[in-house]
Amino acid sequence: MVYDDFYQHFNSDALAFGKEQQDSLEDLIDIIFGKIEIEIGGAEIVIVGQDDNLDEDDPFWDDLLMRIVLRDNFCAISRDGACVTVEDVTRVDMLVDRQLEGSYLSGTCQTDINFTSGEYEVSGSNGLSLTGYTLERGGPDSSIRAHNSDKCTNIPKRIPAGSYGFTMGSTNSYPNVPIVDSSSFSRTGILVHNSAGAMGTRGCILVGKTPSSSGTFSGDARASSRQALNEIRQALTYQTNGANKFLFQYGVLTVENDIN
Amino acid sequence: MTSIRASSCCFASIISVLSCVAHSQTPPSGYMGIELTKSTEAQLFSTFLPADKTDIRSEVDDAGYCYHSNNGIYSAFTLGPGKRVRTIEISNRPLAASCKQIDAEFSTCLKNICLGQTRSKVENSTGKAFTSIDYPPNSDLEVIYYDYFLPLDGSEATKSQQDEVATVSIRHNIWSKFDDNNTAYYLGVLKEKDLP
Repeated sequence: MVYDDFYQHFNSDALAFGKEQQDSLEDLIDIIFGKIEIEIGGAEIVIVGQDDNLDEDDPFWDDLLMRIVLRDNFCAISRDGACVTVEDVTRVDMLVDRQLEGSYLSGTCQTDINFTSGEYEVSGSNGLSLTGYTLERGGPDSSIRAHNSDKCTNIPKRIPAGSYGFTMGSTNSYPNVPIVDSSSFSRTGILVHNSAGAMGTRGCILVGKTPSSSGTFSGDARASSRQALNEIRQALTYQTNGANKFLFQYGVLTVENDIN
Repeated sequence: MTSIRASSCCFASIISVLSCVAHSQTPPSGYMGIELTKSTEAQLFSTFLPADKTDIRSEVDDAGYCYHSNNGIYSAFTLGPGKRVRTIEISNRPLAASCKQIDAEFSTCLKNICLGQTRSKVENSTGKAFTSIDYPPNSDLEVIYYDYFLPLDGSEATKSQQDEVATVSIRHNIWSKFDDNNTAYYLGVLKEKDLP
């Protein structure tokens, strides 16, 4: 992740040198100073002081090199004038708090569809904070695979409460969405995505910006859900060479049953 | 741990996701009389033959019906709400462990995109580029994502009166897998309407 951005803006020789000689940070600074004639550095003492017992292969050193090179100087020396902010992108959490269950008449299915309504909060180690509402299928929790042809049934489809890792990626259905590690409950394809109402999922978690206590997101349900997903996409990914990548080192999805 | 990113990094992807496709070339939606979101399981069985539901092997991650024709083409169909056809796949290679043999010749094309065409030919036909997927890991599947709106048809408008919407959001993706010569040996298409 770091190098993708680095190579877009800087001479790769400097980074290659730094990676080969991780104990020669001053040399790295001198090399870069010699090439671009701008004095750099200043962050290395503080950072090393916090983490000086790390293995040489730890990605920390990659980040450290970036900080030394870029500290306070990125705007001045980047090719296109772009600026960066230094963020702690270690971890992002998504908490889904299931709050109530109900049923609604699905126009598509022409039958009552059970749903679970809740709220979500996305919080990142970089200070990120997003909130909104969720929709899932009705309970009870299920570890059994669900089919799209069963969307108009109330066969349990909601995933088990618990904590799971997640990353951002593209699937055959959705580009650039949270993908949940569902290996612990033997289901596949569990995502966070958009849809107008609970019928639109067979186990995935739907997000919206408006309340979901009716089984659909209130107001313009489609716009509400699209807005929520796009907020998440924007906050949790960055784009390099035309591809979206997960900004954080890891993500944790926690689903809690707090149903009244 | 710290890292750095360009502040402008995310906007392009968001814009691309948000944009409604103003596609001059409508993505394929049918195959040999079976139309996505319209044809039912019963129509599928009358057009081909009744078959047993089976796990579709591709990354569709669903159960459906697989057929194998005299000319060696495999085709698979999965269903969505109302038992209406949600996905169509065609391939030179088996799509499921068990595919019903059909005494007919299947088309090698979904509209104007065909098995055996090169990647560039398919992309020129669709006007969009394929992107690789991240999940499932190590998949060869590549996708063109369409995301657009259409007016509600009559029955949908009746069913959705309480929703007070005049259009329906459509997710309509094209799938492909290419061999070492960059020619398509698998094509698929997904179409879903986002109605509550």
